[in-house]
Amino acid sequence: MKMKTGKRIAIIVLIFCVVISILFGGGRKLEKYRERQLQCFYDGVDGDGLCIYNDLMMRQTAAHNLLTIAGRYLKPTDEVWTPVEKAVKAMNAAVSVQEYFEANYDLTISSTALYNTLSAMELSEKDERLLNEQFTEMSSRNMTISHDGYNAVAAEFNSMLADFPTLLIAAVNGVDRLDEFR
Amino acid sequence: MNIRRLARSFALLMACLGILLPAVCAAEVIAPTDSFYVNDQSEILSEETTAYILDTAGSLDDQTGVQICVVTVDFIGGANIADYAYELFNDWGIGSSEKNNGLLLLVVIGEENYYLLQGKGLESVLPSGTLQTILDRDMEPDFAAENYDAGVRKTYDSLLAALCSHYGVNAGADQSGALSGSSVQTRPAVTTRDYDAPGEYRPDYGHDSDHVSSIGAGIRFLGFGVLIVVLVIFGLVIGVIVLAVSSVSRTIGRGIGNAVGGRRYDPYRNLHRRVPPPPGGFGGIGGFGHRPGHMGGFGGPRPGGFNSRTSNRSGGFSSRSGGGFSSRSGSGRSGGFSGGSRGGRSGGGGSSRGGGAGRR
Repeated sequence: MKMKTGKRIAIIVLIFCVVISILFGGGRKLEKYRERQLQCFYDGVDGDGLCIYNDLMMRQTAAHNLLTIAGRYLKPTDEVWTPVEKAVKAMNAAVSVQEYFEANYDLTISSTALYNTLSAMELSEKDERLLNEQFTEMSSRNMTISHDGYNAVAAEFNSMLADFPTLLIAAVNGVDRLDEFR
Repeated sequence: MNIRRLARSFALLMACLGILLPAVCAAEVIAPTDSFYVNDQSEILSEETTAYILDTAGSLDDQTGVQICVVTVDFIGGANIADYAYELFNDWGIGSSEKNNGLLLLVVIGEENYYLLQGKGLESVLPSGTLQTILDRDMEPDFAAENYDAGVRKTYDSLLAALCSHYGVNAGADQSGALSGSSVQTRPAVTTRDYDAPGEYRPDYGHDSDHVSSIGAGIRFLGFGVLIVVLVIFGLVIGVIVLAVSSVSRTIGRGIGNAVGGRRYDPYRNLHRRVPPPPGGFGGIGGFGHRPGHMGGFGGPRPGGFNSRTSNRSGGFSSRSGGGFSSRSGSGRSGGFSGGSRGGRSGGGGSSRGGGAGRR
């Protein structure tokens, strides 16, 4: 009788241990997998550095260069100047994917307004060339961002996260969805 | 007679569909020619220019793997020229697959537009800003004057010179006239130092990871509540499973015991215990007693024992030939354009991420 009870307890404990290991062991693996997928934003889907993050940094550089050119024709208090400055700072301070997206959106709007204003002015030949170069660089980077594979990676991860039992493991271990860059 | 008329009508209908359908369907990316480097569909290039481009582009390709393609078309079906260039580039696979060092100059005469797109391996060698400068200086003046051949020639020469300079080769570029006053030295990508740009970048992924883990800690605390609920549910399920398993094992155990002659199943065993012994005066006839030789309904050896079946299953997953995903050349394509057939010299499998520069 005692042996029967002991056997039952042993089976219960065994199953309990298996369940706990699945929940927490699986949770650790899921977290690491999430980090690897998020890394595509910073390193590129192929790990070659051609990624959204790199493109955003190039856009930030080009925007700052636009401000340098603008400094020869406009004042920092001009209404087209401040939004670009704010957007550059916001890009600098961004941490999450969503913050980068919002900063990039603001940067696009503000830099286009600045470009249009400067284009309508009488610029030196050199500055006109530099202005067009920098603005083209910014536009070009937005296009490469739109073709980047990170959003597909994030969507795939989120889809997997919505399925059972991954959903349960994620809920227990606090594994979040990946923000898409949109 | 009627059949002939019917056949004629059917043939006429098919002919009409053949004419109309291409106009109805979405724009297709044009196919490369056998020579690959030039596809002058609009016939704006002179024979001399075409021969020159074929000669020098082929030489550059042989020496470095860089492929420069010049494509002229009348229309692109209302598509965005940047998207069309991107689709065409990746469909043709311009440039080598290892270095992705292709260049595409697309001229759309009917829309008075042009576009220059580099492969992802040339983004730092010929950034889009530099391409824009080349177009503004070499292409635009002649293009605006509808001197398309001259504009294409000058632009091509500038690109060729930049690439030859970068790779340190000589592809037989024409050093006279076309390059004078318009050549663009290979310039490095604009960096922050060029414009004294301050600003701190955040290449350290760990910073973001710390932020994420602090949020995760809070969520984990809430997760414990969920964990407790989950454990209770699992406990109930486990209890049911254990009870079921133990009752089955008990039944099977009795059967084995009878088979080896240890204990015999006696359906009246419990009754036998409960009935008090008869008083001594009446003797031991007794209605209930052991029945010798009874084997019981559940015991005894059975051929095959427990669930022994020969299984002919080949495994849980059937093998499939082919994959579930269609293979594509190039990376990051969004689809929407279908490619044509190819022959002769072909692309090296290079790809582009998009970007480039066009007419302002």
